[in-house]
Amino acid sequence: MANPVLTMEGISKEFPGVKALEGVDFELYPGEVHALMGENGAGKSTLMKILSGVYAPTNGIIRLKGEEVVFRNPLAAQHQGVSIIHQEFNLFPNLSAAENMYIDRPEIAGRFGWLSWSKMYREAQQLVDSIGGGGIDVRKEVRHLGVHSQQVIEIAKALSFQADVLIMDEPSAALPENEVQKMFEVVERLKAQGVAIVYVSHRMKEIFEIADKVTVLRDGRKIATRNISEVTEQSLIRMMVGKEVSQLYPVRPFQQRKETVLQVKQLSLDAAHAVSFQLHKGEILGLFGLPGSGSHTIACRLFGLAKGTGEIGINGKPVQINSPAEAKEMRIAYVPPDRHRQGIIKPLSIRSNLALPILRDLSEGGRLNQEKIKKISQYYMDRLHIKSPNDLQSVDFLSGGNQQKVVIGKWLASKPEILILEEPTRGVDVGAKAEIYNIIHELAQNGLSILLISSEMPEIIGLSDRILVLHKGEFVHEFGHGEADQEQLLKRASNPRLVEGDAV
Amino acid sequence: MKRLLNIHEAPTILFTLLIGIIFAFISPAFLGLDNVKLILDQNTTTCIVAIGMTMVILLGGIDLSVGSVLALTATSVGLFLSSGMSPWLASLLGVAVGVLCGIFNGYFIAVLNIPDIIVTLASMYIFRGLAVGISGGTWMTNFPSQFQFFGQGKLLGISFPLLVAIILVIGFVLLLKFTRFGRRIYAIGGNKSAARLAGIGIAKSKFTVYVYSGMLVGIAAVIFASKVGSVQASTAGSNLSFEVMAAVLIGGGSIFGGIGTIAGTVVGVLLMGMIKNGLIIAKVSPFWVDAATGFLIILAIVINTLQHVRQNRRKGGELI
Repeated sequence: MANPVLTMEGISKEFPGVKALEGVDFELYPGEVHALMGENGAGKSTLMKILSGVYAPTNGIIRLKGEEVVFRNPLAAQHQGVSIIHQEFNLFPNLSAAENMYIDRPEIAGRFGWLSWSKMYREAQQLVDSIGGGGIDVRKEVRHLGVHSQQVIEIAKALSFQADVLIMDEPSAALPENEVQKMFEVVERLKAQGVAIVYVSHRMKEIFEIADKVTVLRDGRKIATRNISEVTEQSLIRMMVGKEVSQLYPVRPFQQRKETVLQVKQLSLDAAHAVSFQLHKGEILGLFGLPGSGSHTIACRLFGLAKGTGEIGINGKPVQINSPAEAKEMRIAYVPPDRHRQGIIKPLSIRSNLALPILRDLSEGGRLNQEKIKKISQYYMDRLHIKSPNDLQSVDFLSGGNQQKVVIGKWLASKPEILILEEPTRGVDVGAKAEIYNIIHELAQNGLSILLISSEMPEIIGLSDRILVLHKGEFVHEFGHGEADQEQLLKRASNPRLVEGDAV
Repeated sequence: MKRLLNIHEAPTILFTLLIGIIFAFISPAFLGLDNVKLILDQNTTTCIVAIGMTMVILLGGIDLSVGSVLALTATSVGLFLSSGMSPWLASLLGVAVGVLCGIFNGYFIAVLNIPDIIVTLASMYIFRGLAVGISGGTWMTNFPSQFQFFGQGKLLGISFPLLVAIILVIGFVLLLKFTRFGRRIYAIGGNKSAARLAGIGIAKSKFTVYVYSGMLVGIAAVIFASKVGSVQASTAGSNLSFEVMAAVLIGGGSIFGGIGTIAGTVVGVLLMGMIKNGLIIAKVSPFWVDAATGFLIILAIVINTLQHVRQNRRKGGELI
């Protein structure tokens, strides 16, 4: 075989308190599609950020075509031939496709150093056509292009830098099903041109369709690199999840099903298609799906953040939920996935954050009852073990875990009957995770009905009484108490048809 | 036809034509050559200042201080003249004062990264205060007769201010369309993080834009002082900031940055000027001008937003 275009040797990366990568080796040959797989938190994105110049490795060497390189920033990496296409595109919506590819590049200057639009359009169109994007008019503004076309523009932009290595991060996540094949055709053409492609994806089916090799990471280490012909879906999943599930989780015994609290019928909107389920009193119901499978959509719908068709019933009565305020009235609470952007108000104190959803109940004749607020705040500080000298501290100074407890606490203060938790332990350290798991367990024991949405499989499996698996907006399987393991779960979520002899 | 309608400025242009036709019906004098000349001439200073504001808004920024910069520059020119300086030198130094104001704004906004609305709110007071201070609060008049050329003179058969405005408009249109500097402004306004990843120096571009803007206000101030023949530091250009911002928005600029053109802004300036002029010709009380301008802005924003909504409808996007 030819020489590798890229080698990474002994790459380690440490963040304060966390070892994200430990001694990872990675080799990439021209004209190959190399899949990179691993669970959330396995280190895939850290490795790719190092490769694309976002992070510098703590240890280790990167060689490009045999020569050692250090990328100071993504642009430097790009100029040396390593480009990354993020899941979220980095495009200028207000500019033409051609300009997106050639923004601020001296090589398209015409006379007197002035920009030559005709030259830019010509070269951009050529490049786009060469990778099979012939239908795209590069004069169009990017905001008027579809997602697939935008992706083609991103790829063409990378190629305009003479990319030898192209990293594609979950390239199919943004695409509708019928456009994934088109993307594959583009990838095949790139292969034929000798570009080496790192393909980061969760989706088994795609890996087997497009990849030549696969490398699996787990807990920041490389587990193995194999030819795709040497692995099966089973063996890949086993490599990804390892075996043991740690003792982070409280033991949840089997529960007799109680009365239905929340009934959802034929809910459709956006990414979710005709979804029906029931949530019972004191139950923890897990919703699991790969990114884009629709679980976030369902949460938004239930909390009145999005409108759609279908029926929602609470305690047997049909209800309309058109806004978060109405959802609150129905005693629904929602702990959103992005704590920083959606959960806490950073400059405010713990006390103010906790009081936020219940300000109406705390006001008496237009004045807030400070005594009551103090009492409630103190209660949840104790109850959730929020660690802080006092509750007047601004939440900005708290650790991630304590911030998350504040978000949970403020919604508990609203005395909900139904609690929707989405990614409740994202960016939280292990100790705080265990604490939060215990809190969730206790809440359910005390009769709160919980809808748990998480991309972390151990969490879903460890906490849920039942698990519903979503695939492309539809429920494809239900796991009863104690039935699920990571292998099964991932298999159902990534490609339900692969599960043989099983009518879904 | 459909392609023409897809041009971003199309609604504004159509609307301007419509308003023109309506006024022409009400009063035939409206489209008379003299009146058209008058409209053009009355709006040259606004137009020149609006060029700079277009760039600022394209960056996603805002500048509240241009009216005060105009006052400070005009007052300075008045002082230079009264000290016996030649009109050309006084004007040149005046423009330099405008540039210095731009450097001041640019330094705090681009280099120290302080929000533009705060910086220009502060500098709005500072520059105005300086103008009042150095003028001693009195009217500046009795400019030498040669100085009148800048505001009232004629060159090649058209008025000098109009000529300057036309040259500046063409110059900056080309700058924005054909230079890396110009395209960087659009890139930064369109997606700041993508611009950063593309290696674009955001601070440098911002700084340059504020300096250009200061220079343009300086030029406008010279014309203003000469045309009016007197300057009162406390009132000169007191409404200018809002007027030019309105012109940019009416001309299709987006307050979020990245979208807008100088051509659109010029149409915006003309539309506002036409309405002012037309209402007077139609013998409507001038008191209604402000209300009409306000409605125009709302209308422009509605059109902007509708376009935005239509373009984003297909995309689904994030729910929260």
